[in-house]
Amino acid sequence: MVRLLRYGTIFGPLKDRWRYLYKRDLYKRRLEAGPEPERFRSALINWNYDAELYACTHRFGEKLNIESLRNAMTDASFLKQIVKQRTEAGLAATDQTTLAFTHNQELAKQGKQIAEDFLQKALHYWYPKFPQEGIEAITKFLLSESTIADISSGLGFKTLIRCDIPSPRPTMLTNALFAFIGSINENTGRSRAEVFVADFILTHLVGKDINEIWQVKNPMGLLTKVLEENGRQAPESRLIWATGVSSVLSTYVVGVYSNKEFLGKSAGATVSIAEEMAARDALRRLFETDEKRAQIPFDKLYKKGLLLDK
Amino acid sequence: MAFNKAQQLATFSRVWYLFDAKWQCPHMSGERIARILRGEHKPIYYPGESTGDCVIAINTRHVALRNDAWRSEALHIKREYAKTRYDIPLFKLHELDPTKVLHLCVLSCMPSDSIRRYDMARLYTFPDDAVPVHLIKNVCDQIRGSRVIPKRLDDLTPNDTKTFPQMFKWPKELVLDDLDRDKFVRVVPPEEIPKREVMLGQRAGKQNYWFHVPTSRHEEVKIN
Repeated sequence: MVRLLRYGTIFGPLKDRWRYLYKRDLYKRRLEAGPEPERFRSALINWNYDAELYACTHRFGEKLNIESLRNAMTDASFLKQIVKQRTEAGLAATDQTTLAFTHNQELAKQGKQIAEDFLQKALHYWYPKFPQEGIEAITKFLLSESTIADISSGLGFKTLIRCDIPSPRPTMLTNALFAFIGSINENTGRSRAEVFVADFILTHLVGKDINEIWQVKNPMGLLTKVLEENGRQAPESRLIWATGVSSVLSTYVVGVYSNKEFLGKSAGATVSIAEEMAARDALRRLFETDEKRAQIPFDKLYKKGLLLDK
Repeated sequence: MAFNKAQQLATFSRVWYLFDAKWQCPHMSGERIARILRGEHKPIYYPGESTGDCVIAINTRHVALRNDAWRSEALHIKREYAKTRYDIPLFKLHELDPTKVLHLCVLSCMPSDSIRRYDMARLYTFPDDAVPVHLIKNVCDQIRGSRVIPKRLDDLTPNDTKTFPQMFKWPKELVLDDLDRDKFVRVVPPEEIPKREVMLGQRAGKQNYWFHVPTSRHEEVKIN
């Protein structure tokens, strides 16, 4: 039955010796040729850059000027490449200034500033007791190259970016996203840009614990400092219970108290670990960022404009 | 350590319980202990998972069986060949291994699946209140017994009987000496009490008698 089925394939069975040798040779040649070089998406025939840009504006529901978007998606390396090509072609330096577009460095700087300001404002709004240092750490995490590049490639900027290599580097992806925010700001105003940041960058916090993004080196020291500032007594840690002390799965539960008032508690495999974790727990209860605290209500942010503005 | 690790540790750590079996019914305490050994008292319990806790049972020598169970109930041991089974009455079994009765009661409360052995391995039984230090260090909590241990009459001091609340006052004419029980009731001497026959084994043959009683996994106690 198998044989019957294979008669119908394109080349038939490898019954003949010559056919076997021929296919083996083809296989070897393919291996010798190596992998295919990366190509620009624009090198393919079914590529219409203007249509892609137009689709991009509609994908996010933004009314953007196409030229502005084109500038936002143009990397500095692309411009450099063009200048180089023109120099090689023998064009004078004066002619090169008259290009119809610029690169996105300025826009990116502007967009990054907007995003940073907005994120700090939003985090201050939702976590009013969280210290400035922590908010800066979270903002830094959200605006870090890896995060932003991840978001940017997820939004489909990978093919839209004009640069000198087929698959853009994380820096280029980052710049493109920030420049997109900048161009929204230029075209439709700052509030729309902020909404974009809230939609696509702030939502990266979903499922993440902001207490872990901000890594405190010495939680007990910070707790002492915070309590001092609030005029409370120094923290005191006590063992609440322990079980299986001499077993492999030993568990200690340590609580932290200030003037006999409960601050927080946590479990740990040893007393020192449990104490450290209890201090962290006390900190997040003080900062009101513990797990009982509700998430940022992303779905209710824009019932009537951005909630922050009220 | 992350927060979720701490939570996981607090959720899945094995809690060590202490159980004082003194004057407790081994059947009822067996139910409780089996539940804890299997982890059924936890919200995370799932039949296939090993979520049970550890239990240290002390004073198993002093368990209180119901009715006449010490005499009338027995451990039935079936050996491989025909007519080789024999019984060990519980009082005799208790003499041989004071932890065996409680152990068997707990075992009988568990479903007979393959996990049972691993759950039972988390039960530590001791005949008296002497527990090795490395085990008693682990203990975190205790299981409440099903029975309240009463105070025995011979434990009472004269001061206790004097201060015990009286419901009424005795009339002055009453001679309290008459209340002495032995004046009116004959104390039956032990010779007159009818003797109960204790059946050791099914029949009184050599075949049916018990020679070797395995008390634990590692040692055998030989009884002459």
